[in-house]
Amino acid sequence: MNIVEVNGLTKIYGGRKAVDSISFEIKQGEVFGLLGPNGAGKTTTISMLSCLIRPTSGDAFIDEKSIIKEPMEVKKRIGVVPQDIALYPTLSARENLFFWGEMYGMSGKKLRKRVDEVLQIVSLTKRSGDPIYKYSGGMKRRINIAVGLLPSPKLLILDEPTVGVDPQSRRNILDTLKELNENGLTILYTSHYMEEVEFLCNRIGIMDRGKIIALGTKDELRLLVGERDLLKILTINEIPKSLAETIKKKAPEINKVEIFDSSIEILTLNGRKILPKILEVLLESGVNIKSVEVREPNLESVFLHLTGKKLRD
Amino acid sequence: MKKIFFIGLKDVKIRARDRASFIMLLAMPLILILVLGMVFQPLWTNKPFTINVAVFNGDKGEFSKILIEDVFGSTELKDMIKIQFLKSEEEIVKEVREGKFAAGIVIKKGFSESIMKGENTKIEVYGDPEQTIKAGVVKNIVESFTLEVLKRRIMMETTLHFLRSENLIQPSEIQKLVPQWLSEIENKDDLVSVSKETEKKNTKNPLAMEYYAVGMGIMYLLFATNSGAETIFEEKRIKTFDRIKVAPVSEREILGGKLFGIFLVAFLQFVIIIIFTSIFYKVNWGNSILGIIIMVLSAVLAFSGLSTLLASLTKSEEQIGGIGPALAMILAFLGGAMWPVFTFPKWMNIASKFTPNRWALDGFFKLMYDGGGVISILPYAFVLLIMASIFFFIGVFRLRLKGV
Ligand SMILES: Nc1ncnc2c1ncn2[C@@H]1O[C@H](COP(=O)(O)OP(=O)(O)O)[C@@H](O)[C@H]1O
Ligand SMILES: [Mg+2]
Repeated sequence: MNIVEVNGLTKIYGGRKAVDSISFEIKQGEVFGLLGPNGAGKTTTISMLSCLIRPTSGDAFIDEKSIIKEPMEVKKRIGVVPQDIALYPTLSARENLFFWGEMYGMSGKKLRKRVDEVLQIVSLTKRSGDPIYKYSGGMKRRINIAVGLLPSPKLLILDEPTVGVDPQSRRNILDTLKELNENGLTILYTSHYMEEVEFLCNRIGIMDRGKIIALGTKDELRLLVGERDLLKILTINEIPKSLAETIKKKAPEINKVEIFDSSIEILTLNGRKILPKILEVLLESGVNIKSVEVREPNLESVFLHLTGKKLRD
Repeated sequence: MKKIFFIGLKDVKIRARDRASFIMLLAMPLILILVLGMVFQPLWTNKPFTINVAVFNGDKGEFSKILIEDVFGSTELKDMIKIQFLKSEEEIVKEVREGKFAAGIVIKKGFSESIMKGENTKIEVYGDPEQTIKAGVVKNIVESFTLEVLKRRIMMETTLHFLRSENLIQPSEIQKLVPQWLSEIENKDDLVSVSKETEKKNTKNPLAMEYYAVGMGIMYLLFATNSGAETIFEEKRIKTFDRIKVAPVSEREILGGKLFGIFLVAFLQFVIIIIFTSIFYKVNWGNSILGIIIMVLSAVLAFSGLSTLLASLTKSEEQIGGIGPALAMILAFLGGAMWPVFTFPKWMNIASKFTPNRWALDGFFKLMYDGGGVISILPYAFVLLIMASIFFFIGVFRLRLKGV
């Protein structure tokens, strides 16, 4: 059963298409990921799905309720974790949770019980009396997520919930979400971190410039690049762009060469075999190599393959 | 509806936690009232303002003479109260209405005689609504005078009744005896000394401390309501507004909640100032609790409306934060919170009537100095509520256009 159905959703800002006629579905119980670089249109998509902004055209249905015709019904069914930490800094975590619970029409014993539950889920029961401004970035993020969980939603929407947190907190957040999903929660997750989406999501839509340029399970997406490897070479000095041509001549079986300021990324079959040839070219042209990495196909290589860009700079 | 309440309550909670708000909204006005009250007290007591009183005396008897010559003419009062005699009641009403006198006293023909005969009679006091404090002083003096007269009359009547019922006295003798007794009972010195008390009580009334308690209390309402209005921008900035919007809360509830928060912060601030000043500064806010409540509510509503309007006209916390204090000062000054309006030139007096401060101030003075009850402040509350409605109407309309 599909809990989310998106049909040709579009948002135009001053003539520019922030989201350009996207369509996808999310099945009950899955984690759907929207992966894309900054400015791809992820937040705009989520804002439309959570009825914060009105689409220019298209529609979407959450639990069969239209985001345009029945926004109140949609809002009752979703929990939203925005990209920004939207909490009252001088109120304690517990007070924040109580207030947001009240906004979802909860009250009394039921609310108190649920607040305790979500504090437990994000492991912040002990510090729950402290004002938010005293929290670390990671702790704030966890309370931000707790608010999304509060109304026990049918769908939890998270917009880049790990931005600006330390690796340990990130690990913690991802594990928590995975566990929640295993207990049946449907999740829509956006990120520009490939590893997060790969770890968490059953199905993934890759977004760029307002469009979903690829959609499928991890394996389906990897097939797009075939059995190709991603070679990543970091250098100390700058690499002349002209080297791309030289490399392609030397090893014609290479699919794609992208040269950035002090790194080079190559998509190719049999990466390990070709590596010596490439290194030779680089050394000959006086490039000092810092590190070399051969990666099995992943979403990063898919993105590079589809757009010729890196997910992050 | 519940959500409106919760949003407002949350705003109060945030203000209460914030040390800067606490200083700004409570400590500052309370300190200011104390300082202004102490610094300006000499100006108020050493040079008592003069009160122009018009008198029509239709009575030729003893009692009106006592009132005019011995009470108003006493050493304590004669520098303050300037009496001018007019020819008729109509003239008094006209001149007072035109603001030429702070109060007019009409003593009916046969006033003294009626008192002696034990008949009902009264003295009319007309007050200029623009000069509440002054009119209040006059009214209080006349009231204490009539009270004294009444006390003596009751005393006399009881005696007469007793004498008559015991047949100790012939009715025909009463007529002769009464004036004689009266002059004995009516020890003039005693009466004047009573009026001295009255006078002292009344010049004590417009204490600088009390005046500024009202003036600053009202001025700081705008600080409170503006601090609430600023949170509309603040919540947009910290994105909590968007978060409320993605929760199942209607636009009406969001706006209603914010306005309720604006109201509640100012209401609590004013109530605390009133309680604090009456306990620690001995400010007498009047005897009508209901009157005070009505004035507080209507004043707070007027300023909540004003801040809503301001929020709808400005674009950021900084803008409204910059305009707020300046506007509060101007309104307070024009409204008579710094210096009494009766010292104003005419144009300023007219301008002051466009400020909510003026109406709030006059309403409270009515309760404090004029012994007025609920009825007497209704016109002031009414004007404040009209102002509130206009401000809210335009403000809410504009805010909804802006998509708050
Ligand atoms: N309110 C807005 N007005 C104009 N342009 C906007 C607005 N919000 C987003 N955009 C533009 O739409 C594009 C998509 O933005 P966004 O959805 O925030 O991307 P992402 O979340 O993937 O980083 C960007 O180019 C951004 O500049
Ligand atoms: Mg975003």
